[in-house]
Amino acid sequence: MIYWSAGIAAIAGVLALLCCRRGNLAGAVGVAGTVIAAVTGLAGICISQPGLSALFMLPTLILAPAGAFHSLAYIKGHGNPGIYWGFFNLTAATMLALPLISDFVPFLIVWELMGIFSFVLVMFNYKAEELKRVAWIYLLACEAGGLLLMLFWALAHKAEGSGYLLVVIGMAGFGLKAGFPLLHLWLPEAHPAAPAPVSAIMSGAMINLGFWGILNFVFPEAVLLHSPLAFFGWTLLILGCIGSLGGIIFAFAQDNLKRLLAYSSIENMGIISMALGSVFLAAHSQHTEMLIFAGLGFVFHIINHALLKGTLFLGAGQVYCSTGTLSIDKMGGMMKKTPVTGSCFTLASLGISGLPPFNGFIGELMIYLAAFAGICSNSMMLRGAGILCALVLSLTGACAVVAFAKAVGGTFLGESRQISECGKESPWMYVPMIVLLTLAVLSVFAAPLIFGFLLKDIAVAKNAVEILWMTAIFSAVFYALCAWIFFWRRYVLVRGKENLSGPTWDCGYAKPSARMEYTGSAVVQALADLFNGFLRIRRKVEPPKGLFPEKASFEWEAPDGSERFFWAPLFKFFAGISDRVHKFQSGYLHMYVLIMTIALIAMIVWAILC
Amino acid sequence: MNMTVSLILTAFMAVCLLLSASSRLLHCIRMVALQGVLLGVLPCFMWNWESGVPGGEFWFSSFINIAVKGVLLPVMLVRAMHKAGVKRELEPLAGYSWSLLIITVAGALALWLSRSLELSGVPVLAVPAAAMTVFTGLFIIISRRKAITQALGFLAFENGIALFGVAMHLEYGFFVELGILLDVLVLVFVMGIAVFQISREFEHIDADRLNLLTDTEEGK
Amino acid sequence: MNLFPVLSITVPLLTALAAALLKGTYCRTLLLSGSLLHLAFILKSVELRFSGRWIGLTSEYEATLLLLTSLLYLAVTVYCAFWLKAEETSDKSKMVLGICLPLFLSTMTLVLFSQNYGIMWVAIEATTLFSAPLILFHRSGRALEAMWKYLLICSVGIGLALLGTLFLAFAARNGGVVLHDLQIAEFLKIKNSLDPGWYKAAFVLALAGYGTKMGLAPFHTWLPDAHSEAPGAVSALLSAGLLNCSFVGIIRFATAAPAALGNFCSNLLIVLGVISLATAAFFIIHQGDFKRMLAYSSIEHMGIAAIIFALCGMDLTIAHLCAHSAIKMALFLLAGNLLLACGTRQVGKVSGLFTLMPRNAILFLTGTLLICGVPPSPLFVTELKLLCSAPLWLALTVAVLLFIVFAGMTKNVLAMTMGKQGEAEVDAAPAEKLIWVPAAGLIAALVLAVYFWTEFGGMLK
Repeated sequence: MIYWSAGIAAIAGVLALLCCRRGNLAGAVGVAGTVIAAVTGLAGICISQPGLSALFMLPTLILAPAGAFHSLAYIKGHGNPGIYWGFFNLTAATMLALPLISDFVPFLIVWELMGIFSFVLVMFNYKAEELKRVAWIYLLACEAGGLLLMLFWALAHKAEGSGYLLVVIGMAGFGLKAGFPLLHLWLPEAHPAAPAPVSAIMSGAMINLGFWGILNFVFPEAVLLHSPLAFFGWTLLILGCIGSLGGIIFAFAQDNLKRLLAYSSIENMGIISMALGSVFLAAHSQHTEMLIFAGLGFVFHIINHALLKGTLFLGAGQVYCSTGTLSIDKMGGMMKKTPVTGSCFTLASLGISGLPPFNGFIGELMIYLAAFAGICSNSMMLRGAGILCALVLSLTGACAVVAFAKAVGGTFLGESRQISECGKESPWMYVPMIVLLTLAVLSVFAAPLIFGFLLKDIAVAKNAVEILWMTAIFSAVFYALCAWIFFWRRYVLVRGKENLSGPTWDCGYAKPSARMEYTGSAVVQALADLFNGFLRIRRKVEPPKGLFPEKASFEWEAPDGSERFFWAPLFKFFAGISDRVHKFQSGYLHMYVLIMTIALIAMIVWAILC
Repeated sequence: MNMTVSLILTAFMAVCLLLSASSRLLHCIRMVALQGVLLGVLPCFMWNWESGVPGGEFWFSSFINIAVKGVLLPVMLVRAMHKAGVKRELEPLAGYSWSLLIITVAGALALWLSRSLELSGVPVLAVPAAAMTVFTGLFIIISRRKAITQALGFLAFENGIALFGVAMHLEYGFFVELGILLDVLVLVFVMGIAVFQISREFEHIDADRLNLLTDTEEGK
Repeated sequence: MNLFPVLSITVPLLTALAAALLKGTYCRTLLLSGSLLHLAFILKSVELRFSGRWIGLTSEYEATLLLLTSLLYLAVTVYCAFWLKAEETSDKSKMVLGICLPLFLSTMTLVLFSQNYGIMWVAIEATTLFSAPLILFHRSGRALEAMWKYLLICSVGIGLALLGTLFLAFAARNGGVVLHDLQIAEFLKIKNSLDPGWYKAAFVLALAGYGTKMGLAPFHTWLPDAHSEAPGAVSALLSAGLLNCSFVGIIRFATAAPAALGNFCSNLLIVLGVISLATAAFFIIHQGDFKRMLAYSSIEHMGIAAIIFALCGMDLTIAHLCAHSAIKMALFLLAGNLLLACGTRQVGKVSGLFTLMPRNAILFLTGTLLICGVPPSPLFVTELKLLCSAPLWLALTVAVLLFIVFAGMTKNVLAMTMGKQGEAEVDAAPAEKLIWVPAAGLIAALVLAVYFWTEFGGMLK
């Protein structure tokens, strides 16, 4: 049953491709495909309960229909709908099929197909010149991952190849998709370029599959290592720490809304990685309570991130459709123009920053509890891991709040800085967001129910389940209180009275203009300066000159650190070799024959010596 | 017989030296023609006359060799030379004294290296002469500017290879020999046409100035 | 001697003669009929295997390559039938095409049918001769230069191969075997009595010589020039047909190796293969001409084929050659379309092809991805098998070089297809009609992928 979901999505994809120009038909086929696939998939999971693979299929099953409905409004008038819907469904099909394949080489083929299909979606706006570079980087990341995984497979079959090199190559291959530090370069490039629903699916569902790959294929090959659990645990923990901290620091320095969300995805993948690392370390030291907490954190964070990041990207899509830009510094006041989107975006931001009583909090709470369990344990290793985990998680959480405060405040609050016209929000776009948010809220209550049932036989898990119940009850009380205050009390206070509205509070200036508002960059400036050693912000200043200055400008940007200091120099190095090598094809026939003669003599000498 | 064979082989080596030192194209073409004639004549002197008179194939292949390599090919090259209007190789990439030195050293090296090879039934000078001719051919291709001299160098190269075959008593069948000769004939014919086309298109036949097709930045 | 192989070699000669007599009129009909007859005769020959002194068909791989060459020629002639009309070629150029293409096919067929090292040499040399005028199709100074370099370098190379053949015969004689001519089957029987020293020299010379025609670096220097200056259809034949035939020459030398020298031959092939791969990788970066880029890609795949032959045996090598031929033919024909539409080969001047010539652009991008080994390409299976069989250092080097090639090729292709219109004036209509043969080539490649997966996939689980 569960396999049908992937099949249905694939067939819908091919049908949509054939519908090419007829937008409505393609759209209908596409949406129907995702919905039916989701229903079959969910039914299949309930019936057959395939375990961990269900966890990695759930984000796709939920986000694909949401993204599909959102796309109906998003891509109207932008490009060929048949191609969009076709490849949208095909990508969803590959994402659904991947957790179900157990043989590595078919998995690898479908993995690369997923990369190619999503590549078509990433370059959907192919007319933009800037997209050439982005599409190229994305394709390179897919191919690099594919080649690393081919090497992984090749090494797994050699006698002397097993060992650390094998595991490192495997993790690098899957880590490219999951957004591990240094290998994450494609994420902040591809997500802003792709259409918003595609970014939602990629961010919420596709990058998780990297972890599935590591768990399902790399870990079983690692049993030949000296102490595989410890090695995996520490690698994932440290990569997660670097990823989450680095990700969120770059996130708050971004001006492009989707780029900020992309870096936030890197941060969340880092947190997931930390949780998984703690699971392995706990398993190594056989600390069952920490293992349960870390495992719960891992599971929750995957689901939470999918739901919340999906909402955020869909919201960003609405913002782009309405204003035509993604620059936070130029926007503002969207809350009045697109109220439903704004509210959903705010709630989702609160959730993803890990603030109680939303579902993001539960995930992070579990990881904190795992860290504390580690600190309280007897093992030195677990204590160290716990301290590291707790420290990094708290710092990332703080930075996440800053980043999303900037995102929400800069985009939705205040007045519009440079955008004069703003389109209205479309129900196709905000209804999926509302649905996702509802699911997120419901998951707070579903968590103790589901895990109470699944873990009821494990004695050590009682603590965890109790905490889940407590959080659920607290959240319920909080939501009830909020609902009472914001809806009932307000209604009671306001009823019968006149509804006055006035301009947005302008801080008491005499003749204010919207351009005097704090920009998003100003909000984070202090923090960015604090972290400037890591961020290395590029500033371009044209100071005001003279007594009556006419022109002055200030620009700052935080380009990706790994690109500036690692990848760009590496590519330049190879390009330099290439330019020097090009001189050999100089056009001189004499040189060519001379090279042939020298090579021939070299081969003869070798033949004589061997 | 041995003496005559050694003489012929020494003549080959001498012709190589002459080829490398001369700038007059007609002279070089004549030298290569001489090589061709010697090549056609050599099997007669290497044949073991005591075992009987060789068959018709043997005489026919000798005759064809002399006809093609001694007469036809040089005639074609001379015609190409006249059509292109070139008479001398004026500024080779390696000067004439250097060429002579390099070819002499190559010949000496070939003689020295072939001493360690003990080949029964093969004249002592065969391998050095052939190796030297092959090397001379390659050297002329590398170090001369004019396209027609490069074609000439290629002919010398082929002669050296054929000398290896003849000197080592290798039989590779009548058809194959015919095929090889036919190939070389058509090849030089095509080269001659190419040289004429080059001279018409570029107004020179300096192969080292044919460098439009390149991957370096300056050439593009 | 059986009738069908002889017919398949002589019938193209007759069509060439007819083309010469008719002076270029009815050229397309002659080409098409010649290719259809050739395919029929090849099919019959493959069905009735036979052995002979000069020509014969005994092994599976020769049969596969013959079918491949014949089908390739058929595809190219069908393309030419439409392309010659679109390009509005003069009768004289059509005559040259009508004479030289069948002669080229005839000599390639002779290479594959030959059972004698000497005949094989004659045939390979003849392919050089008959393909040289084809390079001169556009009659520009650059084409002339490319032809001259092609002639000279390949002739030098083939001369070295002749020397290698002679040394091989001498190795047999020195090993005490009496051979009357250079029959391949005889050599395979007596291979263990060959003199090792002379065999090594013979193999080195044959590798250098036939490797020149095959495009192994550092003997490849004629390849980028010739394959980029020739028109698309001719480049397709050269890249997808001729390189395979030259490889057959090397294969026939390598299979005659005495048992003790097997390692020596493999090592030499691997070294040249890696050098070819590296050369292709570093020349594809910053490559400004898209046909040259495809030519370097051919060099890359010939390098990979050499390594596969050294490590994995004959079946996988022939599979790789077939897959490469199908995809490279499609790519070169598409490059010909792009040249027809845009009038330039410079990557920098061409842009925005998705909007201007969508069908060609999509096929070109797909073809590039397929030739770089992205699934569902058949080359994925062969390259994966290669990585599995190679020692660690070789697998890592090959993977890195494959990545560099991918990066270079995709950068150029994306720069050409995405974005807005560039400097070049694009006249898309004639080129958009010429996509059917390249599309067929790519579909054939996908079918091959399925076939490879079933054939070789079992080894990969």
